[in-house]
Amino acid sequence: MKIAMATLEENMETKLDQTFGRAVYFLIHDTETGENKFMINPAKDATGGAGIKSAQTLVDEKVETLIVFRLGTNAVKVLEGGNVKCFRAIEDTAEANLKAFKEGKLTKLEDFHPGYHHAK
Amino acid sequence: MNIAVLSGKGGTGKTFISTNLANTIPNSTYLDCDVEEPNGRIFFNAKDEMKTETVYRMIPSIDKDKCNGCRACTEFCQFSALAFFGDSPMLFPEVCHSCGGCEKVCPTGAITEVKSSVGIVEVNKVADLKIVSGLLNIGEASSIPVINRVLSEIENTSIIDCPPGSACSTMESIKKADYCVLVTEPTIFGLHNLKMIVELVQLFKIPFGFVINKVEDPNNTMIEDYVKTLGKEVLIKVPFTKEIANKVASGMLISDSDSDLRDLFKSLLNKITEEIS
Ligand code: SF4
Ligand code: SF4
Repeated sequence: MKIAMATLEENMETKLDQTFGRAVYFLIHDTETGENKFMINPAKDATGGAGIKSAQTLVDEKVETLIVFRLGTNAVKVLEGGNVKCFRAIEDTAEANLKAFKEGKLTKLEDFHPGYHHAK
Repeated sequence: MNIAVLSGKGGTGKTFISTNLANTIPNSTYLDCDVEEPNGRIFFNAKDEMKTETVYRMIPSIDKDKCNGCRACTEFCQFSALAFFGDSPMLFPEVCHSCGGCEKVCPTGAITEVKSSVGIVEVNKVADLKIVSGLLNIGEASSIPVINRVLSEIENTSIIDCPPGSACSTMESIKKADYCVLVTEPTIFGLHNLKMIVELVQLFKIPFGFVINKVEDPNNTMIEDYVKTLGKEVLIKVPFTKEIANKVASGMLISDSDSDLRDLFKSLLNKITEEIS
């Protein structure tokens, strides 16, 4: 199974990014191989729909679980469509979040905020 | 002649100035382009709706049976309004900018453009005044189609009540203006926001002038000092009194009951007419 997190740096001691759509990096951890892959979020400078594009990236990477602080409603729709389960992150390192998840200590993420739009 | 009324932020009395200005001009048209919060019509007692029209924009509709899953559409869309999962794309209408590009790049004809409602436009008539209000549907990202429909009602002397700030909806609202009236309060925040809309109207090369609203202290010349640096004079200064505030709060047009203020608004029109003639 692949587990994803939005991170501030490319290492396991990094804190997680508070945002999802504009996060700089995504960490994708493969539970079968134990491999940790970092990738630059292609949506970090997107014109619009950053949450959608970020979610699309994870769906395309066949991620099944996302550990995150908060999500916009559009991102949620894409993640749901791609069968990605979302869990609330804790204020700690990527490593600690992964451990907490594996021990079943993270709760499911349920409240979402509506996306922010420009053109107002 | 089309006069746009702008302010750097909400709450400066932009609608107060626009409605009263329109009210003192015979056969004028008042156009409310502040389509997220169109409250100008409240002041005109416009009870009978003369006509209401729905405003549409085009969005893609995807026929899953014709889709081959090539993703050309999702890759094309620079707004990420299309996401792909399962075996076909899904549209996020609020993010879609109606550019029509996805339809063009789709190789199988799976995408067609369909009408989607974005809001309504109401046209009312009260005595010799025409009142046009746009109302954007909640959650709709772009107000441009509704603003354009409102502006299509321009007639005689038109007063355009613009959305506050300097976003693209404001730019759209002033594109047909012959003159821009910039409304501000005599405060530091007011001045700061004012400078931003000055930049905007300068960019559009539209003649402009200033109205200071809510003047309490005649010795406060903060705005006048700034206006002088542009080589201009303030058009009018509208006083702030409890009486005015109460009447505005109860939805009354001050120019109906207060002859001094009526004359003040008339002088505003005269000054503008002089400046651009
Ligand atoms: S119409 Fe344009 S903005 Fe809308 S989904 Fe298609 S490509 Fe994207
Ligand atoms: S471009 Fe057309 S065929 Fe290709 S994924 Fe989009 S809708 Fe399907």
